[in-house]
Amino acid sequence: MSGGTRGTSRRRLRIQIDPIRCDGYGYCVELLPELLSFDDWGYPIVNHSELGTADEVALAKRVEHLCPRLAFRVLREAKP
Amino acid sequence: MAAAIAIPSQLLWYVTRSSGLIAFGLITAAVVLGVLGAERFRTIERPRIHYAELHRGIALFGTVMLAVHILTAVVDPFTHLGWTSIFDPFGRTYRPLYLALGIAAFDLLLAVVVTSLLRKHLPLTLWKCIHFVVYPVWVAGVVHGLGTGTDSKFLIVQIFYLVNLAIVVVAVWARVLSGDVGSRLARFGLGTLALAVPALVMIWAYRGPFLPSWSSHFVSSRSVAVSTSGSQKQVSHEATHEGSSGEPNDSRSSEGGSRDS
Repeated sequence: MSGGTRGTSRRRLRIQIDPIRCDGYGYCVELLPELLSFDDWGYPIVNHSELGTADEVALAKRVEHLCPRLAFRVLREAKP
Repeated sequence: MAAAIAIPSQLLWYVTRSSGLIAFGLITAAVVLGVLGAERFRTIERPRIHYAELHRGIALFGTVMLAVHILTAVVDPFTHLGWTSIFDPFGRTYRPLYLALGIAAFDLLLAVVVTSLLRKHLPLTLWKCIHFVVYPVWVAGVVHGLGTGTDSKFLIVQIFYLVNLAIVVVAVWARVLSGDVGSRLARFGLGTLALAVPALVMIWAYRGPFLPSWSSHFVSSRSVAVSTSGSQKQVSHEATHEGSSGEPNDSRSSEGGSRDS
């Protein structure tokens, strides 16, 4: 699960969802079902916050640009 | 010699006219996608973000078409517009009011595009407030196209305008009636506005730009310009611009050189 197996680059990225801002539009869960799932009220649950593959990073950046509430963020994680 | 100059210039003029109409259609499509909102398309096969991305893509394509429309109009030596006219709506001599509306609309649209590209770095409410400018910008674009456009007298173009207006009205109504916009009073007001503004534009269009005599409105301001500089050359140039439009010599010929200042 550490960066070595899934990571493609040195900088590790992770996602963060602001639950206060989120209105449950669901863009993020639809695009990243491996990382997120809906709760009973249609809001996202973050199951895995770390972005491994380049595909996941690309999908997350798409969501970050168009999240209707700007609640979804891709953050750079400090290298451990 | 004259023909060698006329052909590329005429091409620019055709590109200006067609790209203006194409940009209007694309921006209308982007407006409709935005008004209805990606969240309102409930589909299983397709993630909803695709509609937001389609909205963005079509809007950017429309902006590029608008850039083509403006650049070809400015580059065309016949228009005598000058580069400052891209941002300065004042001081135009050719149909000044309707040209100014188009220039102002483009400048405001540019603000919308730039804030949208920088969206994730801006406060959400700021981005949204600027985004609402699109509604008046779109109406200004319609009036600009009808008032300035030399094709507004053609039935096919009139139908194009009517269809675009109708689609946006239906989209705004669908959103207002869906009930997520403010109070009932606000929805009633917005619904009325969404019908009244296009209705007024249409009434104006049928009493103005849709009439074949529309271009003769602008004769007085132009006859001065023609008399000041080589009028013979301008009129012949105008003839090449308008010659292939299939229009018999009517008011247009009396407007000869009106694209000039």
